[in-house]
Amino acid sequence: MNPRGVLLGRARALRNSLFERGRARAVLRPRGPLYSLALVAVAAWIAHSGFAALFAALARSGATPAELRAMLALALDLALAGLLLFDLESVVSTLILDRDLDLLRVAPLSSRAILGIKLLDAVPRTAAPLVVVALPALLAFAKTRPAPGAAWLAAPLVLALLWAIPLGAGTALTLALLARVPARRVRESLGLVSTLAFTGLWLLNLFVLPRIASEAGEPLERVRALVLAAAPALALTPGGWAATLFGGGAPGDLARSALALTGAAAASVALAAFAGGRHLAIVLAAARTPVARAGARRRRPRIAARRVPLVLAVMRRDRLLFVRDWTVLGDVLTGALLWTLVPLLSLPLQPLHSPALVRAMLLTLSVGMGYEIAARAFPLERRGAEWMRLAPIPARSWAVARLVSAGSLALALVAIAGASLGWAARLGPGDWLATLGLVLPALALSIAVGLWTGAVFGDPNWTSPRAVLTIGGRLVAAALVVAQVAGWLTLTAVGESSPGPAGWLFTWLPGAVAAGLCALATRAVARRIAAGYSH
Amino acid sequence: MESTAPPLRIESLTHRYGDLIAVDGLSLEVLPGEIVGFLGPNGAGKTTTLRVCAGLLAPHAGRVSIAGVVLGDAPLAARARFGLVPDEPFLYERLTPGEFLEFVAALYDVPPALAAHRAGELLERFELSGAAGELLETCSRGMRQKVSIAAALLHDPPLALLDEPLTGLDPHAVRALKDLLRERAARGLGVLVSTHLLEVAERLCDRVVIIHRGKKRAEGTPAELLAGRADATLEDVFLALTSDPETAP
Repeated sequence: MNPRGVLLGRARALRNSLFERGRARAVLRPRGPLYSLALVAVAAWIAHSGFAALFAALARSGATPAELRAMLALALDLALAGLLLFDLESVVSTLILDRDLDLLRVAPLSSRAILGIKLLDAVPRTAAPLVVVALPALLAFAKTRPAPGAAWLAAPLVLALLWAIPLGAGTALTLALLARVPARRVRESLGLVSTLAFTGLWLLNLFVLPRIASEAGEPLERVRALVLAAAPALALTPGGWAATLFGGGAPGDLARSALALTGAAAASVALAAFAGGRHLAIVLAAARTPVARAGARRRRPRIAARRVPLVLAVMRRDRLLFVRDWTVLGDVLTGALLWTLVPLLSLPLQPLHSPALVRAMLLTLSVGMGYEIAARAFPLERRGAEWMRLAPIPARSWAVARLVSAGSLALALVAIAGASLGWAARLGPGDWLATLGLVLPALALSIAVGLWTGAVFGDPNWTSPRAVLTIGGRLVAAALVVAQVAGWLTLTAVGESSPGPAGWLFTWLPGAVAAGLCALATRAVARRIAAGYSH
Repeated sequence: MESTAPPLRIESLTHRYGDLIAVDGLSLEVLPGEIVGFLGPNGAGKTTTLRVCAGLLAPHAGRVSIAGVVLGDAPLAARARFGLVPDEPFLYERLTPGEFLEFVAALYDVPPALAAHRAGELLERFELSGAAGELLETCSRGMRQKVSIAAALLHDPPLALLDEPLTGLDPHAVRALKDLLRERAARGLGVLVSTHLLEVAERLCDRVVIIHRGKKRAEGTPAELLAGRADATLEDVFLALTSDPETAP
């Protein structure tokens, strides 16, 4: 292998993914991923502002340098967790599902060399947690406690080591797992691992965070107490080592941290190289072997005896696409559970009576379904989406059919959750009426907004079911979900605290406004379909 | 139905990608009952032309009429009058061929009995009946191509646009497709087929259009193109017409 040539080729591929190269003239124009980078920069700036405010507040409240370093360690460990949870799957997907893998496999390259090339390819895709969390945290920390020049010089290396630790070890473990389990459905296996990890962390948060929050005292004091209590443990984590290296400490501490961080990263990469050499060829071969459906029917195609309206045809197709991609289905079901549980986080802080809690749970579930189901609808079709432009059907009919289809899937889950929660909370008819008056418009709006997000930011070439939108799209989708949840919960709270006609207005008026917004979003979806979703 | 209108009429079509002119003032016609071969080297503008005809790309200039309906004026009516076999099939990976064809039949509002009959017949001809229950993601390249062809012809449109339709097909399927296209032509329907296989074009097509750098270089029956060139083949003619002066031997 000619490393210089390979590196040059990958650098060119990266440049071409960011800039469109004019064919007639050597002109570089920005492309979609560049706009995603801009969004990542905005997110990093927001994170930096938050960290800067936190560090400044801690310093003002008399936090010691050790406490500030512990806080920085916590932020860096958070970035590590983000890497592990959200980007490991992306790395392994890159490793076993990228389109150029067959080219690399037939080239005279060792498995370790392929692993190295693909890990290099994964850098831009997985750098987001470092850029959005770790780097802003370092910069914000330096505002409060200026770092020496040597620390700044070492910072890129520290970040690189932080990147290598979770991804190297995670890649090794995943490859070992995929080599042992039936890996013919690699994508699904990866999705399941990611979903389970995500669920585990979420449930942990659900039980731990409220208890921290419920302790008495000012929030800042609570943060200080928490950081102080966790400082000894944090000092033994990669984030703690990195914080010591950047934030200063005794010479002995610096040396120990540098050694620990470098050793952990080296061990992690070595483990990945070992696993790559041992398992990658098997996993790659298995990933490319198509698997026949169990018990596939051998019979003539069945065509419905009656004419099938577009809406019903789209509903049937979407149902089959969702149900047969069991990673996506698992993700949707897990997402439904987690979104429903979100309001429980506030229980220890603000006791809610049952109807309000049920309403809040169903509202978050409804908004979440816009992301989990509707935003996935377009990308899930992959190249099949071109039929929206080939078939003699108006774009608005497609948009409405898709709204109904995604809405029906979401409604089924909301109905199940609603029936269970309503039965458990013994809701009365009045409570049901008030709940449905909010939940149904919220569901319609979130589905329309989710469809729009998927139509604009969907990636038909997705490899990870958790990342069917572009990076920028995921940020936009997350912002829209947060805005919707915040809006609906605020309106609900204001409505409940307003007596008489004002309360009634707050309960029903948002529904009307949501219907209007839903219509606008559906029109935007239709325009996107007419313009060509996958172009 | 406009029985006298040609299945396809392209008038002065131009399409650009940025500064690159992919199709440059192209005009051509597919008459009823005619199979027209669309030939050109890589990057000549064949796929772009077919995508513009299918409404997947908007023309920068010119007009496309499908069976008498101007695509820009009545896109939905025009879409109902053609079937496209794209270079890369537009399939749903997690549907079976049967389910996929059922969905396509619903999109084109094909009466159910007719759709069932045609789907069965097309799958039978392409020896796909046994695979009707397999998911498309598990099907081979050739099987997927066959399903794509079946989907394009399911509503029996006046015009079939085929972009490299023989890709991945075995000899049996190639013969089946040729027979199918000839039968369509015999019924007065039009076919525009883009291909690199000059032998196929020579034997299958009634007329051939050769384009290079987005411009039409020649048009006529294979016999007309070979006229006056003793011992020449269509390949010789093609190479002569599509060689750049600076690279020509």
